[in-house]
Amino acid sequence: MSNLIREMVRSNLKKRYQAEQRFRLYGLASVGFGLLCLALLFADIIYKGAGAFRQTVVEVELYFDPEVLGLNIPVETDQIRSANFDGVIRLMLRERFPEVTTRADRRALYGLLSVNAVYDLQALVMANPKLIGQSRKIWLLADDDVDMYYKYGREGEQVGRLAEISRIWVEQLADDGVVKTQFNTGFFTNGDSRDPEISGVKGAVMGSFFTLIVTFIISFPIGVAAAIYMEEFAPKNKLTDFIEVNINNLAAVPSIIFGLLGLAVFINFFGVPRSVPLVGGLVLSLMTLPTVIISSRASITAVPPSIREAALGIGASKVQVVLHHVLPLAIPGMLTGAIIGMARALGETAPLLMIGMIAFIIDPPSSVLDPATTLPVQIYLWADSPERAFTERTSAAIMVLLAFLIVMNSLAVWLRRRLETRW
Amino acid sequence: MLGINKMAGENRTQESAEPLAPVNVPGPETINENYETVGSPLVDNPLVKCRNVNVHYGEKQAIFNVNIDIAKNEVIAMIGPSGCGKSTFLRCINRMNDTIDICRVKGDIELEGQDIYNRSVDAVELRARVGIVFQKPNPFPKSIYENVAYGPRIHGLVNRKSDLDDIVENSLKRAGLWDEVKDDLDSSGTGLSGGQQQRLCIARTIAVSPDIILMDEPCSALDPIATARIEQLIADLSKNYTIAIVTHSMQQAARVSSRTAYFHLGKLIEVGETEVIFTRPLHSLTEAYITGRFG
Ligand SMILES: Nc1ncnc2c1ncn2[C@@H]1O[C@H](COP(=O)(O)OP(=O)(O)OP(=O)(O)O)[C@@H](O)[C@H]1O
Ligand SMILES: [Mg+2]
Repeated sequence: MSNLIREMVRSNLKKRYQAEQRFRLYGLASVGFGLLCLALLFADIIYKGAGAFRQTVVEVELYFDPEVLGLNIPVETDQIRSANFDGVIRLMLRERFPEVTTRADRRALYGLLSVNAVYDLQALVMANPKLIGQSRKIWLLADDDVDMYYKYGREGEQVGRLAEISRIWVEQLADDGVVKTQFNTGFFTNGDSRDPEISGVKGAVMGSFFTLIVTFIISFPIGVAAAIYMEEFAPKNKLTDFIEVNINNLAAVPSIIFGLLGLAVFINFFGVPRSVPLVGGLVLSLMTLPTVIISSRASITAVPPSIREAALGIGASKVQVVLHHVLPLAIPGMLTGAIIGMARALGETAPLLMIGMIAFIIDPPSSVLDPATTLPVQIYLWADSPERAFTERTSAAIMVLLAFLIVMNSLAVWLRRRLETRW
Repeated sequence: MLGINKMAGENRTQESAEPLAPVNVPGPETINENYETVGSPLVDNPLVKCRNVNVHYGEKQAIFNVNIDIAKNEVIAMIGPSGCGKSTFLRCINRMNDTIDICRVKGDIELEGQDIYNRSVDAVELRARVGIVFQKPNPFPKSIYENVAYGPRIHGLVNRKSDLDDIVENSLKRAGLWDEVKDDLDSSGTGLSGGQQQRLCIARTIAVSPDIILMDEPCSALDPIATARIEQLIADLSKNYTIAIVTHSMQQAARVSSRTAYFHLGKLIEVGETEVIFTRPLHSLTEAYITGRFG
C-alpha cells in the first residue's frame, strides 16, 4: 500500500470513528432520556403514593357498657350485630373531651374516628362476647381527614379539610401518645369504599386477576391455534392473504371499539351479565388475540425449516411435526407474546368502561361472574374523587398496577428461560 | 474439495492424451426436451423405478423426463453441476417435494413395483421406507436418545422401552457414533460436532429400518476426517441398505458408489458403472464435468 493510500485510509478512519462515536452518543442519550422519564414517573408516583401504605390509628379505651350497647345479659350473638357501638365510641369521646358541648362541635368530635370503626368493634365483640361489660384499649381507624392531617398537615403542608378545632383535638391526642401510623393492611384486603380510609385495591386486583385469567384462557389457545393453522396448514392464496392483512389491522383497532363490540355481542346478544370479569375477559381477549396471533406466527416462522424437514423426512405427519417439534420450540416465544398482549390488556380501561366494569363495587369478586372492576378502572375512579386521601391512593394503586405488571413480565422471562433452557 | 477436483482434472487431461474413443459421443447440442440418457440407466429387478419424471417449481421446470432404476443394495451416486436438479430428483423418491407448495412432480416412480405417487400410498408411510439424510446436519433439539428413538416411536415399531433402547443402541452403533455418545445419551443432539450430528442424523434415519436411504450431500459441511468416517459408514451400510447419494465430490462418488448418474440442467445425461463413468464416460458433458471443465 502506498503511503498516500495509507494516509487516505487513516484520515477516513478518523471520520469513521467520529461517526461511530456520534452514533453511540445518540443511542446513549436516547436510553438515558428513557430512563430519566421512567425515573421521574416512578419518583412522582412513589412520592405521592407512598403515604397510602401507612394509616393513622388512634388508641382509645372503650368500656363496652351493655346499657349503652343496648344489650341484655346474657348476650345473644344476633343482638351484637344491632348493638350500638357508635354510642360506646361517642361516650368515650365525650368523656375524653368534656369541654366540647355544642352540637356542631360534638359532630366534629365524633368525626375524628372513621365511621367504619364500629364494624371493627362489632367483629371484635362477636369474636369475644366476654368483652361486654369490660374495658379494653383498642386502636381504631382515624377518619381520612385526620389521617391526612396527621401524616402531612402537621409539617405545615396545606392538606384537606380538617377543621381548626379538630386539629387541636388531634394534637391533644398526639400529645397523649395515642395517635400513630401503622402499615395499611386494609389497602390490600379491602374493596373499594366511599370512605378513603377503608378503601382498598383488593377488589380491583381480584377483578384484574380474573379478567386476565379469562383473557389468557381464551386468547392464548385460540391465537396459537390460528397461528399454527395459518403458518403450517393453510394454503397460500388470496383468502389467506386477506385474513392475514385483517389480523394485522385488528391489532391496530382502538380498544374502545372492542368495548362497543363486547357490549353489543356479549352483553346485548348473548346476555352475559354486565360488569363481570367474564365479559371483561372476553372483550380483552378479542383485543389481545391479534397480538397473540402475530407473535405466535413470528415464533413459528423462527423455527428452522430444517427441523420440519428432518421430522417429515423420518415420516412424521404434519400434525406430529407441529406438536412434537415446532410447538416446543415456538412456545416460549408465543408465551412471551401472549404475556405482552396481556400486559396491554391489564392496563386497558376504555373497553371496560363500555361493559360496565366502572361500577362502584365494594365486595371483591370471588369468581369470574361477580361484578368487579379492574386496577386501571379503579385508578380512574379514585383519580376522579375529590378527597385528598384518594389522590394518595390513586398513586398507590398505580404502584400496585406496576407491581402487577412487573410480576407478569418476570413470569414471562422466567417461563421463557425455563422452557428454553431445556436443551 | 476444490483442490482435489482440480487434481482429478489434471489426471484426466494426462490420460486423455490416450484417445478415449467413445463410441457415439453425443454433443451438448443434442440435449433437447426429449433427451435420452446414455449408458445404463435401467437394471433388472429394480428397487426403485423412475419413468418420465418431470418436476416443476411453479412455471419453472427443474427435472426433464428422467428415467432411471435403482437396484437393491447398490450405492448410486448422483453428480452434476450446482442447480442441475440432483436434490430435486432425490427428494422425489420419498415425496419430500410434497412439502413444497409450488412443486409438482409428474411421471411414475415405483418402489418395489408400487407407484409411490398413487393416491393409496401414504407419504408418511413411504418416508419410513425411504429415509433421507440432508446436506446440513439437522438433529432435533432433543436428547441424542430422543433423536434416534423418535422415528421408531412415531411409527409404533416398539412396545417396550427395552426394545427401543436396543434400536437406539444398534442404530448408533451402525452409524459409528455409539462409542462417542453412549455415556451421555441424554445430552442434547445439537451439542455434538458437525460430523457427529450428521452421524446422529444417519442413525436417526436407519432407526426405522428403511429400504433405501437418500443422502443429499451428507458430507458437504464436514471436514475430511468426518467425511472419511461417513464414507466408511456408507460402505458399511451398503451391505444392508440401498443408498442414493448426491455429492459434489467426484472422489467421494468414486469411493463409495457402484453406479453413478450425471445430471445436467435438469436432465439425466448419463448413468453407468462408477468406474466406467470416471474413466470412459460416453457423453462429452459428463467428460467435461468429471475432468473439471465446469461444475
Ligand atoms: N423450493 C424451490 N422453489 C423454487 N425453485 C427451486 C426450489 N428448489 C430448487 N429449485 C430450483 O430447481 C433447480 C434445481 O435445484 P436443486 O436444488 O435440485 O439443485 P441441485 O442439483 O441440488 O443443486 P446443488 O448442487 O447446488 O444442491 C434450481 O434451478 C433451483 O432454482
Ligand atoms: Mg442440492
